[in-house]
Amino acid sequence: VALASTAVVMNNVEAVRQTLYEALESDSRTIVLGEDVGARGNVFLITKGFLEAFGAERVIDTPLAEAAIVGVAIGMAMEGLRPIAEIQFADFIYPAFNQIVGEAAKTRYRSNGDYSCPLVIRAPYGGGVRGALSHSVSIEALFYHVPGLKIVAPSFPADMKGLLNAAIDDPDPVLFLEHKKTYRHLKAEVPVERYTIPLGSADVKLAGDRLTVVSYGYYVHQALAAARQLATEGLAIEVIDLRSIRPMDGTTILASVRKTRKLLIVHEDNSFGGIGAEISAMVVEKAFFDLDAPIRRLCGPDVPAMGYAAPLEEEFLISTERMADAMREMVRF
Amino acid sequence: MRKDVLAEVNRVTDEAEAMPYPQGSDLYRNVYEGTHEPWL
Repeated sequence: VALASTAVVMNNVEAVRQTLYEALESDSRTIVLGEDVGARGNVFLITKGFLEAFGAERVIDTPLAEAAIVGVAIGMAMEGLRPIAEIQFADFIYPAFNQIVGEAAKTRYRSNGDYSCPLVIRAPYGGGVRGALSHSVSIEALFYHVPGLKIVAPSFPADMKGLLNAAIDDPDPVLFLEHKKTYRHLKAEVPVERYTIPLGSADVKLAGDRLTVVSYGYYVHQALAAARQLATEGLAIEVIDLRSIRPMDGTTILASVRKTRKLLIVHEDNSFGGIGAEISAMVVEKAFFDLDAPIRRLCGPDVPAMGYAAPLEEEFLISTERMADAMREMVRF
Repeated sequence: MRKDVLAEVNRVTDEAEAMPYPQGSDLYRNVYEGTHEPWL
């Protein structure tokens, strides 16, 4: 849908697709590689038509071998190309763990700055799509601990484009996580021109003064829906979309917490050792005396996986109603 | 052999479809970490 000459309405799939297409079009060093990215055009059709447009040397169908996908991409990046590697589902990233953590994240440090590794690794993640045990995981916390890795998880189409461009331009490895349930969740305006959003910048999606809610991925949309429910009750909730998991935008979080004096962290990944734990520790270290209530985390349960059967998936996931209830409890504290 | 495999697959899928859905509380079955961290 064309609006003005400055913006187009699209969903997250289209935003990722357009950004990748423009990257391939504008820079001959850009290579897209992964399972089914070529002839099939990606399982979500994100790269459909790319093979025909750019050829098999720049849109590379790989074997089902994630360690090889990332390993080859690291070599490309170190030698001057701009690879964008795809892990078909985040659940499959484990074989590439050594390449990402042991190699990509350490390249600049190990080579004393002689080499960089400008690599983007895209991975659809998250549940709520009946993906069962092997197509539902959240992997961010596994990589969060690793210095040298940046991790991005946008929720809205305009953020997808701006942050993916920033990830592509970044001289070091970026893990770019796309929550599957956001792919076609909504359409929104995306500026036509090329632009970037700095990695490490959160966004206040809804302003409020009674409670700060920090989230990322699909739960941002649910948190916004819950906050709008509370707005009808006269309770103004501030919702921050983290967008970049690491670098973390502590400045935005702290400014908000100092205003609202209460913090609720919501994420789909399980709570123990998760992103919420780090945010919570940061706020306690920097703003403990600004808090009027204990920090609360509303996260996935500490179980090994999300089951396939609907009751198991529903039990794992946090409903909008549960978020709204938690917000009310925090406001009342 | 093809016939045997098909019969076996049909038998187990019929059996699975006849079973009731799990309860939400089944999500926590066989989770052993929690037993060591009762404060969670």
